[in-house]
Amino acid sequence: MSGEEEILEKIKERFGDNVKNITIQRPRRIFAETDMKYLKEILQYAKDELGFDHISTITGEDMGEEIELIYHIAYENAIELSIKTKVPKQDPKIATIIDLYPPAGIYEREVHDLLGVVFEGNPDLSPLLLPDNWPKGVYPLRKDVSLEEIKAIIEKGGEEE
Amino acid sequence: MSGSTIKIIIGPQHPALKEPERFILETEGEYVVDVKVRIGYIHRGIEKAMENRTYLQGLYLSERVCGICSDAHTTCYVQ
Repeated sequence: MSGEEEILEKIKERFGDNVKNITIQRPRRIFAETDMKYLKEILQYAKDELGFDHISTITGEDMGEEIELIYHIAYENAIELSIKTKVPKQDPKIATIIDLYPPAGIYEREVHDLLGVVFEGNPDLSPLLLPDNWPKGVYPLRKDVSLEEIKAIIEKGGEEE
Repeated sequence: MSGSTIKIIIGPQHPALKEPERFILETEGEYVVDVKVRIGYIHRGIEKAMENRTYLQGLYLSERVCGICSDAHTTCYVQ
């Protein structure tokens, strides 16, 4: 069992400048930022060496030019590590993590549904929350999709067959 | 694996389910070997609805996230 300070120091020591803005925001919550190419390496290390063996969720947010993904992983004594990473909105592709955390598949489907991020290597990115006849390429949680547009789609009853 | 799996579809409406969701279970004898999940039948898009509201209007919406969690979502919202 190690406390959050110890985990923070270990991550700092192992990854150095590749992990930015690592802070303990409040007890049992660690936040960190990283580039998408180091994400998997950090998750692998956190899982194998630090014992973060549970994925709570993956959240996404449209930040304008980029989409920010936060991977929340948890530890046995309820310490939550949230790793932020950004993917470009023009080409939102990131490697899947289902080989590390198999349950992540469903969260990846949700983020793919709502924000259009493609998780390369995930065999099943079929709709999870949206109806089957939702038009392709309309990602409702992106800021450039207006509420009116969504209302019009719902009133029309989805895409025409 | 003999390859003789049977698909059992549960939902979206089923007496055992508290809320609508669909499970396509793949069973081999008594064992469930795979499951495909489909949720979102009551997805309300609250995140999107919140974007077009002022801070105070959002307060009321956050109280309506869940019917039985009286203060959890509102507390998170205002903190």
